[in-house]
Amino acid sequence: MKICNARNYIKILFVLFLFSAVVQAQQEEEMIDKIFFDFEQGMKTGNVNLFYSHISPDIYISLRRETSGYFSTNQAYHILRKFLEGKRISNFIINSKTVASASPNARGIIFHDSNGIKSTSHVFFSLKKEYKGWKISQVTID
Amino acid sequence: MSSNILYSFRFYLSTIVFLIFILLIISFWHPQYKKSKFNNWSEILNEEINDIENQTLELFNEKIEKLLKANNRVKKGIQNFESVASEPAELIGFVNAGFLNEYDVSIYNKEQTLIAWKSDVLQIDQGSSAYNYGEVFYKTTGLTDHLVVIDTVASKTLIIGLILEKKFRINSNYYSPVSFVNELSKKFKTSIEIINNQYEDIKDGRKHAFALYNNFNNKIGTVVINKPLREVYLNSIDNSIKAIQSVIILILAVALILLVRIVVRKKQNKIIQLLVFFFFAVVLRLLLHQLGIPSNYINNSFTDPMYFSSTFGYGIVESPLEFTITAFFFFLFVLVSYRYAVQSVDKDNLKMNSNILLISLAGISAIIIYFLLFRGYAASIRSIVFDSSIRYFKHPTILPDPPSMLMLFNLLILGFCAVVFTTTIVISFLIFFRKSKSGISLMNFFWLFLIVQISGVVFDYIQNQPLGIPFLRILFITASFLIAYNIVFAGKRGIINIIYLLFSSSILSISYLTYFNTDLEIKSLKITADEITRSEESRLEYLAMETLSDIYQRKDAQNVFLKQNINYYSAAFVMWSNSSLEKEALSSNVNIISLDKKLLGYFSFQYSENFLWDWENEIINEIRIKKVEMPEGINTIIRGIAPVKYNGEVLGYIEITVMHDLYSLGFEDTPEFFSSSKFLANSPINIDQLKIFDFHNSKLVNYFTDLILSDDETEQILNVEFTKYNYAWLNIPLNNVGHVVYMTKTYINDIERVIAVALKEKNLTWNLFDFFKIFFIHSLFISLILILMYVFYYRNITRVKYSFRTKLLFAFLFISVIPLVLLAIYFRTITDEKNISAIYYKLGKRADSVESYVNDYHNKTELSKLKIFEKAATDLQINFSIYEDKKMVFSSSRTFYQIGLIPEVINPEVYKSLVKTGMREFVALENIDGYYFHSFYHKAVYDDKQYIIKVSDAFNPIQLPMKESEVDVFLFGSYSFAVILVIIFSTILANQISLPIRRLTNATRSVGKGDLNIQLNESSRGEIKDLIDGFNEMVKELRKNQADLAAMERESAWKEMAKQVAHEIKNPLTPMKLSVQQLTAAYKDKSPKFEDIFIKVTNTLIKQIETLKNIASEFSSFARMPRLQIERVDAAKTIQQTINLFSNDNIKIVLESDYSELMIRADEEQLQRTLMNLLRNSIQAGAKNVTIKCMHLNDECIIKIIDDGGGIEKEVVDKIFIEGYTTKHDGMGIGLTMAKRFVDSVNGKIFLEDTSPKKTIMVLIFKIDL
Repeated sequence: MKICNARNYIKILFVLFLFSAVVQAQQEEEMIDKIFFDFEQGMKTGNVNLFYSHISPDIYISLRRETSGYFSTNQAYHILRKFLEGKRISNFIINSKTVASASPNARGIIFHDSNGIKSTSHVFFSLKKEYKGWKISQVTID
Repeated sequence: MSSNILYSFRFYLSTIVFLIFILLIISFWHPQYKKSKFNNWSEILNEEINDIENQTLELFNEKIEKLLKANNRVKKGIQNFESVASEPAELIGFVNAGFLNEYDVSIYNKEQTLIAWKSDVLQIDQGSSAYNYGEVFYKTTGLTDHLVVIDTVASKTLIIGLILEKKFRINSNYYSPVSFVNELSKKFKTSIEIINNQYEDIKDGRKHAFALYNNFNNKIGTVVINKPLREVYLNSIDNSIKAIQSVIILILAVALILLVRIVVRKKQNKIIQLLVFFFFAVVLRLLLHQLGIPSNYINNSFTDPMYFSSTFGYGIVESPLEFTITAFFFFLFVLVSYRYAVQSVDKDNLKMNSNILLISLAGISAIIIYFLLFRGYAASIRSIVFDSSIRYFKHPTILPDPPSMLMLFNLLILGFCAVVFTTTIVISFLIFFRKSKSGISLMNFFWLFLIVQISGVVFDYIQNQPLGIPFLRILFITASFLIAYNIVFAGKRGIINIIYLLFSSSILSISYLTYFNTDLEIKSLKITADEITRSEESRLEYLAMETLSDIYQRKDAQNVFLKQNINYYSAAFVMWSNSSLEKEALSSNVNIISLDKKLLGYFSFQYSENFLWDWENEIINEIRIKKVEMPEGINTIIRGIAPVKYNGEVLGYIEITVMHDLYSLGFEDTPEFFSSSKFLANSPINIDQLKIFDFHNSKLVNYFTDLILSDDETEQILNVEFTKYNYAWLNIPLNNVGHVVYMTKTYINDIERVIAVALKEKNLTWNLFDFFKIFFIHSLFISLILILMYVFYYRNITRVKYSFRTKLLFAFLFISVIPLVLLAIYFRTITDEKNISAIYYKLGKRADSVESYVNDYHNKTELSKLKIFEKAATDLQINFSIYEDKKMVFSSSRTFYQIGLIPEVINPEVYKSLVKTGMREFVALENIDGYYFHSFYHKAVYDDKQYIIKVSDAFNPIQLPMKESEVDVFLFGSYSFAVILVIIFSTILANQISLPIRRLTNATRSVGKGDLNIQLNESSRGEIKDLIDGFNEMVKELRKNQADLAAMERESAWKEMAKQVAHEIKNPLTPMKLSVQQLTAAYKDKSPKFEDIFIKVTNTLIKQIETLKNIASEFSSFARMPRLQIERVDAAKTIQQTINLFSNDNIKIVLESDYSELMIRADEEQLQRTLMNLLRNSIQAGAKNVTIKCMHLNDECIIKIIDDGGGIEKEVVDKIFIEGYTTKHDGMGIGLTMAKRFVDSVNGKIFLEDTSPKKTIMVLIFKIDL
């Protein structure tokens, strides 16, 4: 009887463990999705404030024919803000995402208007898990 | 309100009204103006296009003229050479002489053999022959577009080219772009393209094209511009109007502030004035930011957030320039606060405050504000380091680039503000403390200092993350207290405090900067590890896709297949360098493949294999990306291919490969001039200072260092405990030298990869260099500030300029610093020479090794010579090139020659020396895009044929005992320290030597002004002592002579006067005597006319008595005092001038005054003499300190002279103003009498307020002259 109970306890613990793991994974995914969403909205509206809190303190930024390198969150804020202001973004769409990875990432297209000429740029950004959760660690705009 | 104030008030008010009116007009006019432009757009568009067209043609023609001028100069030169029948070798020297720096020149003889050249060789190909001699045309080479001219002179053909476009770009520090198209696009703010094709036809309605004609009026190209858009044009109008409105609003705000200031100035409360000032400063700063001034109007490195940006204060420090502006406002506020605090120190009329609760509250508040400010200061410097891409200490150059200079200026101002403001808090608290009954004393000050230091410890304790180290905090507090002491206790209020503040803030700020930079360097270990592990599959796929998409759309790719004589290697390099791949520290490759699937050319970066696309009968009509499975299973290789189409037809293919090679760290074998990755340029330390180890499953598989780990060290690294985020920090000695190590762990397939990045702890010399490098720049700024202050505030420049002390100081500095500088130059030159010798020796040894190897192998094997060269390069690990005559036949770094970055033709100077003049070896300093390197050329014989071996340190790093940068570090660090010591000691010595002379000078000046009571003391022996004794004797003798002379003059005057009086009196006495005798006779004779005679005689007597009275009056007028010259006198200035006369006496005289000027009505000379008398009395009473307080109370100027002399005895206090009364054995007793007589004569007052053996206060009161 006791053995049976012990087995049941183990089963219950196992189920609970599985459940918590699933819940944790789901939460992580939700968190990543939230960052993707905020980044998309921020890029779409040209408002860096929407994803500023997700920027890593050592973010790698590469802007085609412009800046590239590792920057602090503060620098990243102004570099991206200035870039978005200069480009006059009309839309931004994420067209592919990889969530289940050690480094979740997404690609998208920015539609912008520079000096009256409409054009597009491709965006790649990826996340990295840091001390304070998932952070955007890399943004490449070509 | 006075008339002046009323006038200002009205002026500002009317300005405000006027500006508001202008703003309103602009608001109404702006839409109308835009509408008119909108309606007349087609006309404006034509004007705009015409303008662009005309200016472009003008600029292009300037280039043509420039080229033709160079052509004529070369032709003349060749003619001169012909006339003196020079050797062709001298022609090489002529074209490389320097005047053709911007040009590529090639000269061919009549057999079309190249005989002289400069830079890249320009070929006369089929395309060129279509043009006439002297006709300018476009010529495209692999990496550049030239404007060239071919000409002939003296049976020689010359071709000269001016580079118009560099088609490639690399992120190296040495790359300098050249682009005529970019120059035009930037100038006209629209996209411009030049098609160097005679036949281009543009049908796109959004574009406008016009032809470029050469000097023969033939069309050689087409300029295509994107037509300016109406929307863009109207936006530019909006921007211009906005700029005008911004300026008006700014002037409006300033006028408003000045208006309010007039009202607020009437308030006596300094705190209210300060708060109002603070409010205005904040409002004005925010307004500037809101109006986008200056960021919206200046677009250069000063406003680039990459150099510095912080999110603090809604962006008021978002760039270096914005930081400067914010710091300037803070600087103004801090200076005003400091001034108020210093002025308040001397205030006597402060109300006493004895509420202990209030004092405690004020104390706690002051300490909290003090430390919050201190933390803000440290956090700001942390931000300057961490929120910036400027690497202040990385490059051992003395003068940094402009944005770095600006940031260093900001650092100085920030430090100044922090130190001044905290000092102001200390002074303010001391003032507040003084209001209490306990008063202000040195002991209280010391206790306060201790309390603040202890509070600092507590403050560090309560913070989660204290900024800086305790030593720096203690130093900061000590600095602010020392300066507060200097102001409050030592009584120093002048410019010296500003100098102390500037230097102490510089030293503190640099110390913090160095501290945080060390943090950043340690952090860079993490970034380096992140960079190595950053790449993963999806990112590589993105890069491949992005690069191919870009190439797919580019016209350049079509030209590769459409045009003839294409260097496919250069074309592949151009594609690679213009793609995203160039920025990445990844192995990558670009292949150009023909339609029949043959490799035409390629460019590989850190990529040895050259795989070709596995076609498998597939038809490639669009971009394809695939991952290549490698047998090792751990390298990620992404490959992609794109067809290049023209009018729908496939012309060929571009294939790219991106590889993340786990066995390569990504930046090992790149020559310095080609260090593409921005990461390397941006890192706070040079990559060669890092030691990188790559472990796969606990086995070291790769490393980037010359340091070999011992088993123990390896074990320590691998056994470290990682955090749950898979990283760890470690401080361990590696090869017995302390290192900081960062480790990160990743898993790829079944491999556990550990990257360990280590950095050696810095030694003292480096830190000294770091410190002095910035301190030198700060000293320049401080000198500039002091010069400005000197020019604005000090008028007596000549006196200081020619003073004995200054001359002595400069003499000492000159004698001490010149040998130091000469020594430094000598040491630097010797090291340079030794380094160059070492480089040449080592390169020479390598060249010898290559020659021996090749010759040995040639005798032993049947291998072809190229194979032997390759084998030599691999076996000897030496990068070298081989030339036969002038043409390169082999290079182990052939990529750079193939793509055209380094010319394949030998350096002309080398050719001239080795081939033409028969030298055996030659060393040359060569450069690629400004990157200088040494090349050793060695002539050798192989197979009975001469060839030249070239070995360069660009491809063969040479280890030197002391690099140039290390010499600079040593020299700058140690010599700067020595120079500072020299300056300090020179100043002290010059001061000491010149002191007696300065005292003597001032004493002589006092004697000249009539003060003969002066006596100088000198304890030293020698000529100076004799001189001073002689002076004292002279003054004593003068005083004695003056007294004797006065006595003699008095006696003589009395005698003369008696004589004159006797003479004058005699005249009326005779008629008086005769009259009285006549009256007596008449009386005795009982004359009947007695009555008439009586009347007559009495009349005569009265008349003569009147004459006597007049004589007395006249003598009285003659003897009275000289007249006073009463005028408006600045009492404060006169006091200061008087104090200056005593500057070298053994007494400290301090003027305490809130007022820079105090106007009274007096005789300036008499006032100064009075003050000198009083001060001399103080000195003679044994005073060491005298304080002169000058106050303005109730329309009276009150001057209090407070000394700490022996005082005046109570019994004689009432007699001090009596003429002739003196207590001095050699005194005359007239000094104070004269003083009183003068003060009384101007309706002033003079009295002794208090006297004791410790303190005597003499008071002078004058009416203020409004």
